[in-house]
Amino acid sequence: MASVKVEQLRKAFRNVEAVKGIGFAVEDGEFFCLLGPPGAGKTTILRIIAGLEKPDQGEVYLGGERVNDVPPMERDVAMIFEEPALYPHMTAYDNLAHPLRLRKLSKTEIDRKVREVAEVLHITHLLERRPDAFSGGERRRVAIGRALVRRPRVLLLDQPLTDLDAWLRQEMTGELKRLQRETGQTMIYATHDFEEAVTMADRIMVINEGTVEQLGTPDEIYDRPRSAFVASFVGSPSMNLIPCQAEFQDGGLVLSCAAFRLPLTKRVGADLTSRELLLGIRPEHVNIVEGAGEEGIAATVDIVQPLGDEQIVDLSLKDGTVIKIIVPLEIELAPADELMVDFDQDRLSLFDARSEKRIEW
Amino acid sequence: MQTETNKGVTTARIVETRKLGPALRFVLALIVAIIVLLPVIWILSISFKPVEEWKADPPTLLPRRPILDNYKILFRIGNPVGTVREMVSSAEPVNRAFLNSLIIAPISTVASVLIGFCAAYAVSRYQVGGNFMPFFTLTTRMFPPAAFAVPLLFYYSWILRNYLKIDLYDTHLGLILMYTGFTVAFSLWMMKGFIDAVPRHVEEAAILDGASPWRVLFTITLPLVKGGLFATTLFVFILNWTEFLLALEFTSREAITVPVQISRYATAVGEFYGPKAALGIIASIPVVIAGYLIQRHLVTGFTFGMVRE
Repeated sequence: MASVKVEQLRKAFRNVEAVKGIGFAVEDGEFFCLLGPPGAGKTTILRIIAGLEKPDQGEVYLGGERVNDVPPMERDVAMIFEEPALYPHMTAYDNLAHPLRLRKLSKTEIDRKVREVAEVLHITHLLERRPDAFSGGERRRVAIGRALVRRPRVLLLDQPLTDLDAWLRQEMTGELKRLQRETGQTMIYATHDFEEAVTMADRIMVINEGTVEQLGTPDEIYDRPRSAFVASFVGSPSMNLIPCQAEFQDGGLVLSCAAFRLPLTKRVGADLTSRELLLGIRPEHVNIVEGAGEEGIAATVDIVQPLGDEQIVDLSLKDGTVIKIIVPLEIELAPADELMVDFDQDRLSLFDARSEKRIEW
Repeated sequence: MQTETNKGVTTARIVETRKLGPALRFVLALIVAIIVLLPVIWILSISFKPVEEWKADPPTLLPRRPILDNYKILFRIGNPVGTVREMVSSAEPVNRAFLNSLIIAPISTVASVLIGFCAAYAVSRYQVGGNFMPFFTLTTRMFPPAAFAVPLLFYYSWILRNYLKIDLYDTHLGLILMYTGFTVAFSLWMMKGFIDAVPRHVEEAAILDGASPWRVLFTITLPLVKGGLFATTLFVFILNWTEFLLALEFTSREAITVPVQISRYATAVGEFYGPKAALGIIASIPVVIAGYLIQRHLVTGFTFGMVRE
């Protein structure tokens, strides 16, 4: 087990810069998640840590030791690829034993370790068979087993669950989390699925187009997105972003949008009046105002999507802006219903419309 | 009503095809088999025919009086008589040609496949030579061998001999070098196809497991392209075993190969069909054996299940 640190990482393929100066530190035994859309540079970062790719610039440290010049086979890093990449000509047993045999362990020790890992991953019954007979989930288990069996210093997972069925993915995320807790294995997990990241990660780094958007705990990233990108990328459905301006009125600040004016109840420290803003509000932080005569924002129901005990409702505001809200299923709504909504102001995010950076207020 | 009728017709047709299916397929297969096998049966039959039956009219499918003389003539066993004796004296015994072919074809095949595999690995995994080089190797196959047979002959028998004091004309090495050179493009391209089909991640996983590049090559890549390697070997071996033009041009006595030997059984008196056929049969034995040995490896079954579904 070891910590991982990268500094000022840069990597370009032909003329495309995949990673533009990324740095972060993963603690020993941490479950660290790289979250970003396809093409954000996640895979490249993992491959650089593994040594499969040489960075154009920047340093990679494993357990405090600089490993830029250490070849991949000597780094003691395991990686699970998007495809399980098992050795098709070997049985599951031989797949698991492969890294151990390379380390010249004794036969009995290899056997003990292989069976131990197989037990943990529930693949004992597959050991004598070849991967071509396995289901997608079984292949992944074997791939994870092959990575875990030698207790690598760091385990890198490159979107290992993307093409699995939803139920299987859920099962595997739970299992991975459990494994990580039991073994204390340092893991770096790349995914574009926020839910996967949230359920497993101790900390998440959101990246986009090769740069870091935000690094923090899942809660921080969800509640206080540092940029409009993070706000819209994280969460499903994503945060509503509404262009607006701030004005003084009756001694308080008012957010003025095309469809509504929202007086701010809190005192504001930052200077908001001189710039274009984006108001960010998560769907679950929009409430429907009950009873006539209450203050609120007028909206019309467009689409209702029931979702178990909740429903996602698309509302169009006066100017045609569409926002999504999540409300309990008990509230009966139908398309074309008129209603009033209210924003939970404690959960409101504001972004500078030009830089798309969060404004603390 | 309409649909009802249509349905009836369709069902009837299906039943009909099903009934006809196996019978029709058998007849078709039989026709194909006859077309493919007839020359083989014909040559086998001729090889056992006495001289008066070679060109009998009407032709006979099976020899009326099967003899082994044609085979004996090849190896100069016994004492042939009459015209046959006259014809035979013009050709060398077949032993030398057969031995030459058994040396030249396998060695150039192994060399070609070995070089081709290494080149294909470099091209596939390290993009050596970019897009140009792999394609450029194909230029050796872009014009007929006859086009460079003469310049090469000039090179072998004049420049190399006179200026570098290397004599490659009518030698094993001379043909081996040429055969290797002419087939290496096939080896490269066939092997490149098979190596490309091995997912990179599988090799990378092995590297991260702690295996050195050589070890990855021998324990992961090679076993996975084994079928392709055998297929390529067989293909190149057949090319080398049956090559005629260059062998004819570059050998005269010492290094002649079986195809050249076959051409020798013709004289002013006439074509020497019996021994020709007999040598044809003997010449195909190594290829049949090679094919039989390799057959079970030709299944590329291992690639199944490696790719994402």
